[in-house]
Amino acid sequence: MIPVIQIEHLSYTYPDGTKALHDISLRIDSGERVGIIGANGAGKSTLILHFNGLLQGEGKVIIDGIPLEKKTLKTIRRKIGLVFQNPDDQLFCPSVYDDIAFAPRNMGLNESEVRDIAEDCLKRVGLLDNSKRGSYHLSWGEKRRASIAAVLAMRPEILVLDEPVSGLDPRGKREIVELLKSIGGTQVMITHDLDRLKSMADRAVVMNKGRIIADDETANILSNQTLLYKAGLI
Amino acid sequence: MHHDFIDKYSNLDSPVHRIDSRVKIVFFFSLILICVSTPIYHIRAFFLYFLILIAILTISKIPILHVLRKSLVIIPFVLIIALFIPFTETSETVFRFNDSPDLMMNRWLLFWNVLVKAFISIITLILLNSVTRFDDTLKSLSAFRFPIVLINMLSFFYRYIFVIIDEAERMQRALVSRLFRGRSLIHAKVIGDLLAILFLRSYERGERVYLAMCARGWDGQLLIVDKKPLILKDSAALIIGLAALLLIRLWSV
Ligand SMILES: Nc1ncnc2c1ncn2[C@@H]1O[C@H](COP(=O)(O)OP(=O)(O)O)[C@@H](O)[C@H]1O
Ligand SMILES: [Mg+2]
Repeated sequence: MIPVIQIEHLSYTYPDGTKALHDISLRIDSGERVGIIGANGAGKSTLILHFNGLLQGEGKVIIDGIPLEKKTLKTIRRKIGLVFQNPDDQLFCPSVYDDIAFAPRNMGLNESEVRDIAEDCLKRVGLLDNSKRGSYHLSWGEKRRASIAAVLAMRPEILVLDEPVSGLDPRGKREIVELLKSIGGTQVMITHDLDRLKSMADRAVVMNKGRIIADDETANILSNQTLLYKAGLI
Repeated sequence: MHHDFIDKYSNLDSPVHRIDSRVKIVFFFSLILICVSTPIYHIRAFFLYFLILIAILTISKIPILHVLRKSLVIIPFVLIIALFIPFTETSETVFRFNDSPDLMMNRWLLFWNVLVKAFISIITLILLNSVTRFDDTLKSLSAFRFPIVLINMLSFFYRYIFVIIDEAERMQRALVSRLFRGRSLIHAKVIGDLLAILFLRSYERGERVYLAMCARGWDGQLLIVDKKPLILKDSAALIIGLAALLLIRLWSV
């Protein structure tokens, strides 16, 4: 079986000289739920921006068997649904509906198909009644769910989320965890929430200072106190 | 944090709200053009324009106080214009009023002219934004072939202006809770730093938003209009509205 995400010897340096990733290799198979954990500044966000070519470093990124390069960018971006950390960055349209409709419209679907998809996605995240509101008016939890809906509308094969539960109250967190469970499929998520990691991911990748320092079943990672301490997670 | 949104009340439901936004835009802009082109001494015409606006206001259930309060924004502009009026040449070139009693009278008329027209125009715009959701307004503008770049800019403006205001407000609170008063000139540096940070944050946000757009397959267009033809009711409303305006205008030539 070909892996859905395959990364080989990836390094990345920001234009200002910050070395954010060192020689990362990672393989994720279809249907896996993988958590990426690590202290602030470990390079987690930088890594996931490489999954769909928003950043391009040295090394190989192969998505679903397709090597990431200029001419495959469009195909790959459709496969990866990237949910950004800050919903205010993700929801840029004047109404929630337009945000959900953004990706399907870019895919060239006609308006009635777009409407079907948008309504379906809004229903899945429980925001159908809010579709005409501006996203500014939503609560943080609603914004998070709207961001997820906006990405689901692309029908991505792989869902990648940057800190999906951070900044939410316990109920908001529970709602997101349940929503992600109901969505299923291949999921990669960055998180700091070790308590919820077990219910969100079967496998955990630990990053520290731009490197992957451990990659194992979630239970094993969570029971390794020395490792968590070294990674700055406890 | 709560702001008066640009299109407050646009989510109400009324016969006016239900009219196609393209019709409303054409009608309201025609009203402004026709009003501005009406000679000021046809008081009756201006009275009728007002009547039309009040009728729309009543049907659309917009609180009149909201409209009046918002219309205050024109006061500074009108005052500035008023300041210059005593120095204006009030010959026939400014407006044709051959049997004018005296110069004073002309100047008053000139001021009155600016005041009434500015007031009607601003009320018209406030009404437009109160009965049409801003995104609908933008979509209609793009149906009228308004440049797409400008529409995108307006759309981002509408989406992010309050996010930025909130950010500024939070920073200001942080300053005040550390006993910052900002009274003297020395503090100008602090305010300057604050503005610089606000700018940098907005700039960085812009980059992240751009990435988020690319991640969802952006190809240059933000809002896409569903080009529906106007339904009969909307066309009828437009024709009746424009006919009324034209009648008033022709009657006061
Ligand atoms: N746009 C940027 N320009 C320069 N350096 C950056 C930029 N974004 C992140 N970094 C740096 O790269 C490193 C990794 O950041 P990031 O991937 O955001 O970490 P994480 O998501 O794990 O908290 C950090 O040292 C951070 O300061
Ligand atoms: Mg991050």
